[in-house]
Amino acid sequence: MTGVHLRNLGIRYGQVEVLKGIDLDIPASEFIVLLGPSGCGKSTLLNAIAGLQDVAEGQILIGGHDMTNVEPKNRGIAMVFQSYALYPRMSVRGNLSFGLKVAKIAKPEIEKRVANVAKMLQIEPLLDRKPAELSGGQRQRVAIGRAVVRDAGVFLFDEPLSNLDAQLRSDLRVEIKRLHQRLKSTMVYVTHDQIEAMTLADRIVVMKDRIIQQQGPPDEIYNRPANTFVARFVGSPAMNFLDGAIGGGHAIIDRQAIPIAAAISAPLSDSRPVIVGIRPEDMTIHTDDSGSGLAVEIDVVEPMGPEKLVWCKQGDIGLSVKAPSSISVMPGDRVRLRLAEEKLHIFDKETGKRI
Amino acid sequence: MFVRSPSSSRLQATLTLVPVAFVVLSVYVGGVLWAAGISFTRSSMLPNYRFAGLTQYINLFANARWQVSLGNMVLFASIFIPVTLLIGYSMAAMINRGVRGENALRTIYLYPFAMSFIVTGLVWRWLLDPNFGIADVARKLGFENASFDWIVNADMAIFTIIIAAVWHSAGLVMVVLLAGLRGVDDDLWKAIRIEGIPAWKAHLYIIVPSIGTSIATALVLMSLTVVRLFDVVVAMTGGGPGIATDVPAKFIIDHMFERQQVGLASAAATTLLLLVLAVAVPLLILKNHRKGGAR
Repeated sequence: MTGVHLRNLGIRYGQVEVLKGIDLDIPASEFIVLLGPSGCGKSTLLNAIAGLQDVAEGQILIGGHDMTNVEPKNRGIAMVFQSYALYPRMSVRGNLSFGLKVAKIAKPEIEKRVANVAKMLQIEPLLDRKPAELSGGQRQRVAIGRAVVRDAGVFLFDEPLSNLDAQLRSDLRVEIKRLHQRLKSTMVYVTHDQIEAMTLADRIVVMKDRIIQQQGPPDEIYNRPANTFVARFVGSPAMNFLDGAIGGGHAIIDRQAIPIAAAISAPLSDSRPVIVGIRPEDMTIHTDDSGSGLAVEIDVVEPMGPEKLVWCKQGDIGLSVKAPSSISVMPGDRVRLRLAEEKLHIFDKETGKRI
Repeated sequence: MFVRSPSSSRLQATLTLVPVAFVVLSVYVGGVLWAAGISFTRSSMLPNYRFAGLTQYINLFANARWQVSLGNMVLFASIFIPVTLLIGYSMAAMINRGVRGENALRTIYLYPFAMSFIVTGLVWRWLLDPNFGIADVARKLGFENASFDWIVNADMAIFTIIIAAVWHSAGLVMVVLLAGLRGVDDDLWKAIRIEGIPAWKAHLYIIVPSIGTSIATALVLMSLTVVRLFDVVVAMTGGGPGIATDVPAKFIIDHMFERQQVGLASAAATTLLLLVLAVAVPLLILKNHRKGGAR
C-alpha cells in the first residue's frame, strides 16, 4: 500500500507563485478529495503529484520514495481525466492494453488484466468499439479501466465527472466509491463539486487562493467549517450569514437577541462584532406571533418534493431555509425564523475565521 | 417589424450565389468539358471538331516526352509528399511542444511559402549552380574538390526540383498540421506521459490518427502542388537538361501554345484531370467521413 506525502511544496509559473508551502499527508488506502473553486491550485497540485508539473521547491514522497523529479510513468500512479483522454483511433481493448504493451508486460498477463478490469467495470461488450462510438459515461468507464489496469498504488482523478450529466454523474460516483472499497488503493480526487467531495472522501482538503483552507473528514468540514469560505463552499444551498455582535451569551442580529448554545458562546467576549452562520436545515419557520426569532419576509418558495426551500428576506439579506413540504407559506408573508442554538457557527468579522 | 421568412432568405442566398455558380459552371466545368471534347478531335493549331476517336491519346502515350513527364510527376510525388509531410509534421510537433521564440520560428518556416514558385526556382537555381552557387562557396572555404552538379545532371536534376519544392511547401504543411495539433486535448498528452509511451509511438499511434482531418488537408494541398508543378521547373531547369525534368503541366502548356497541338495537349490535360480525380476523390471522401464519424 502506498501513501503520498507532500513536504513544503511550492510551484511557480515564471515569477507567479501558484502553490506555496503545501504540506499534506495522505496515508495508504485513503480517499482524499481536493476541493475548491477553479483557479485555487487543486489541479496544479494533482499534476505535481502525477509528475506532469515541475516543482519549484519541496518534496513529493510516494510509497516512501522521493519522487519529486521522477518521470510520471515511474511513480506508480494512474490518472483519470475530465475529458477522458482516450486514444481516439484505438478500440477500447487497445486503450486498455496499449500502455501495458509499451511497458513490455507479457501478453497473457495483459489479456488477463484487461479481462478482469472489463468485467469489474462492466465494459466487456464494448471492448471492440472505438471511443467515438461510446457515450460519455462509457468513455469515462473505459478511462477508469485504463487507470485500473495499470495496477498502480495511487489513483489520481482530475474532475472525472464534470463532463457528464447529473444522472450519470451520480452513477459513476457510486462506481468510483465501489472501486475504492474493492481495490483499497490510495485515491486523490480533484473536484469543485462539494457533493462529490462529501460523498466520496475519507478526508476533504478545501483549497482556495493557493493554500489549504481546511482538511478533515466530510462531517467535520460540514459541521465545523474553519472559516466563512469553507462554510459557504460546502453545503447546498450555501450556509446563511448574518452580521451581528455578541451580547450576554446571545448573538444580537438586527436588534434581536438570538440565543447561542453555551458550548459555542463560551469563548466569546461581549460586544465583539461577528458573522453568524446558520445552515438552511438548522432553521425553522414559525407563523405564530409569539415574538421570538428573526423577523423575515418570505420571498420565494421552491417545492423540492420531500421538502420546500424557502427564500426569505431580512432587510437586504437573503436567507434560505429548508422546511417540511407540509408548510404553507406564501411570498410576502411575514414570519419568524428560529435558529437552532447549538447549530450556530460564529466567525470573526475581520478574518472570517471560526471562533 | 418586417420578419424575414425562411423562404425569402433562401431566395436571397440563391440570387447571391447565381453569378458565382454561373462562372463555375461556364468557365470551369464548361472549359473542362470543352477540353475533354477537343481531345477526341484532330485539332492542331486551332480547335476543330473533326472526330478522331482515341488517336490523340494513343499518340500521347507513345510520346517519349509525355512518358518522361508522367514518370517525373510520379517520382516527384512519391518523394515530395512523404518528405514534406515528415518535415512539416516534425516542425509542427516541435513548435507545439512550446519552444522559445515560437512566433519567430513559425514565420521563418512559413516564409518560403510566401515566395512565388518562380522566385523559389530562381533562388535554388542560383544556389545549386555548380559554378557560382553553394559548391563555389564550399570551394572558396577550402574544400577544393567540392562539386554539386545535380541541377545539370539529367539523372539527378529532378531531385533538385524536389528539394526546392519541399523547402517551399514544408512551412505550409507545418501550419496546417500545427492547427491540428493545437486541437489535441491537453489531457491526452498527460495520459501519454503517465503511461510512459515513447514519443514516436505516441505520435504514430495516437496523435497522428487523431489529426486525420488536418493530414488529409495537407495531402490535398500537396497533391495540388504535384499536379500544377510547372513554374518551379520553368524557373529552375526549363524542363532540362533536355527533357529530363519535364512535367505534365509543362508538356500541356508547351503543346497547347508553342507546338500548336491543341488536341494532344487537351488529351494530356484530360488524362491529368482523371489522375487528379483518382487521387483527390478518395482523400476527400476520407476527410468527410472522418469529420462526420468522429466525436
